[in-house]
Amino acid sequence: MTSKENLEEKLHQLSQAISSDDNLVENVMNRIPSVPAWNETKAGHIKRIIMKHSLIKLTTAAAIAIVVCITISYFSGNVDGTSAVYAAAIKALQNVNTVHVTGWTTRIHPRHIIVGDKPFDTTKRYPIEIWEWFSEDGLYRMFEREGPITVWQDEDWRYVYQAFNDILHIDKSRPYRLSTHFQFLVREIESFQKHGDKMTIRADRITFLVDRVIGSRKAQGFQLDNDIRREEIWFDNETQLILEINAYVLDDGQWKQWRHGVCTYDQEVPANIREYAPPDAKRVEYSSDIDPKYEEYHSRLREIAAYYKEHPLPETMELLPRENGEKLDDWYSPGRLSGITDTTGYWVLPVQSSLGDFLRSKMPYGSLRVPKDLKKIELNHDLITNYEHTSRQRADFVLDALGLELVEVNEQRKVWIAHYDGRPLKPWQQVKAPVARGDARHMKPGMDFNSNPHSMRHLLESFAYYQDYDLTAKQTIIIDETGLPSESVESPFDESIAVSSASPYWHGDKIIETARQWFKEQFGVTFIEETRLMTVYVVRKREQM
Amino acid sequence: MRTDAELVNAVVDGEKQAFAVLVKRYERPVRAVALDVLGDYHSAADVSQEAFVKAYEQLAGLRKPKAFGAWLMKIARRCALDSLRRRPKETRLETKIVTAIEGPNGQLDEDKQRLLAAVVKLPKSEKQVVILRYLDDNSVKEVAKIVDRSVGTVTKQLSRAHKRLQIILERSEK
Repeated sequence: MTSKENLEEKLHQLSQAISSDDNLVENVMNRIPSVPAWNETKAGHIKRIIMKHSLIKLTTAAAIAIVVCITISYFSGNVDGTSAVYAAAIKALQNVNTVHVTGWTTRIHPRHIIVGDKPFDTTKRYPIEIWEWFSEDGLYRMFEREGPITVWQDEDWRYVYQAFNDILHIDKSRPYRLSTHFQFLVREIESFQKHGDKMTIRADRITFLVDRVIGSRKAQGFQLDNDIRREEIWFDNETQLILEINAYVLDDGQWKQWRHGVCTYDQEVPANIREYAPPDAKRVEYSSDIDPKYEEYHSRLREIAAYYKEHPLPETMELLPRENGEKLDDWYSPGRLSGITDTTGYWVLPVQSSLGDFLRSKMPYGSLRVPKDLKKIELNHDLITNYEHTSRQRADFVLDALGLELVEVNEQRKVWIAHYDGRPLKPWQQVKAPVARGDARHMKPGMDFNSNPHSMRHLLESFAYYQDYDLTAKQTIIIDETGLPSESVESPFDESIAVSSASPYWHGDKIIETARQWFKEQFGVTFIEETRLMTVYVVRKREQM
Repeated sequence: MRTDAELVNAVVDGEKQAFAVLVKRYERPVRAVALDVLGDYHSAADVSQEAFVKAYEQLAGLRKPKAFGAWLMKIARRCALDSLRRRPKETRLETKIVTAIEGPNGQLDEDKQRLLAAVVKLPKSEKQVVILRYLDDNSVKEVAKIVDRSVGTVTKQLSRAHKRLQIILERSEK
């Protein structure tokens, strides 16, 4: 065998040793989004070429617009105009090692508020200092100080220190959307990214501003507006990097500036920033996945992972009883199994509630009937499940393990058919719950239960959910025939389909009339009562078969 | 067979399944790079997946779709190094020792590890063709098509890579 053949044989053996993973393609394809953020409608390289032309057009337009700001129709319905700015700015950032932002803000957003914390004075300007950089070993670092809040992030951890209440919160470093690096600027640049039917993710209108000089750099500016927010972003004409950001909010019909930031690049990071260490705070909090108080549970997850590394994963699912009563908070993140979850999709769902609570959100709201004695069964288990399993499959599996089953029966039910009169809707931010929450310590019917952007579908489902909180499947349910957009690929709280900033707590008979009135007044949505044959999901003991 | 550049452009165009072809094509090369850094099969498998997902997320920023392979290897290496850094120091040391001693259980024996390290040390263009030719079991013609070079160029690069590998291996044996 020649030395070449010998080497080829060795390479062949090496290839065999690096065995392929049958599930890799599937796992990767499951993890990547069906509609990537960068993928609009055109091919990337073609898009880049078109963008170049668009930029040239934009620059020319800027030269013509000497005195006045012109709302450029160029952007209207044109994907590439905004995409061009987005792509050029993102590309420019790729050559940067250090970003430094200084300025001020009038808005301080505490991550953790405790009783007694006073609201921040919004007439005051709080200094901003942000550094994002790659260290000598090529690792990303971020230091961000906005008034009394300091954020420090390395490749592993993110520390948020609040000087005003002396709380330090620690969690794992998480990338912001697609980007781990230069998060502050990427958020700004995203303003130019097209989003669904909207012109961009944050703006309905873009205005081209007159060129100006910032420091010694010639800058090209854009003003991005929607109904309540305005941003001016200035780019270096030559480098396409952001030079200045000004943000405004509509206040009593006037645009009021709440943030100003000036960006510089590739400066040397001062030693006090580079070597910053979060202070010893009076109170230290952790995110649930690293919280030492869950150490016992994390240890259990490690044991489960070790077991499944040696044994086959369950064919479907497995329900493991828990031996200890360690109570996990409701918001505890699902348990990932190290070395297993990423490759197989199997993870651990803590099931630690009554059977009724476990099932209530797994069936269409208002359609689940669980007898009283079964509803109270307390579960203290871990369900080994897969990302591919549906909620219904998980419910069926758990019920089966308890000797129960879920059957579907058809029943005549009282339903409300929801219709919309077509009136223009108010901005969703202006729609509030019918009963003010104030400083009430307990939730009362009609109060805002969940402050987020909510779609009409969400509000209607929420009504059925709280009306039938006892899981009798005998209360009114709503059929949505409003035609208002209800599906979002982004999230259930997508602003683009939102109609309300509040989701009221519609519990009990007495609130029904208030609910009818609220839907009518706020949205022009009325209900026609009918009786219809509907599916009811009934939990029962398996012997009844 | 579509070239890397054609597949990359197809993915950016919205043909998500084209990315599955790229994953299949570069599965072993990516794992090889991760394995070289981490020395542990299970971690390399995790990192491979991470690398592909990252590559997908950043695909629109790839200026030369033709250079997908080399670019992906960089991402894989970076992911592997990140993963290594996240490990406690004791584990890093342990991995190196265990990898050198043990053969079975998904870890490479010493000879294969040395060969893999040598492949990873090759210049970019040679490394790519060697990985595609031997670790991913493509014919020379297929490699040429994938990297969008002529068969003659690929043959020459392979030949140079052979010589270089011999030298690297001889040196590492001393």
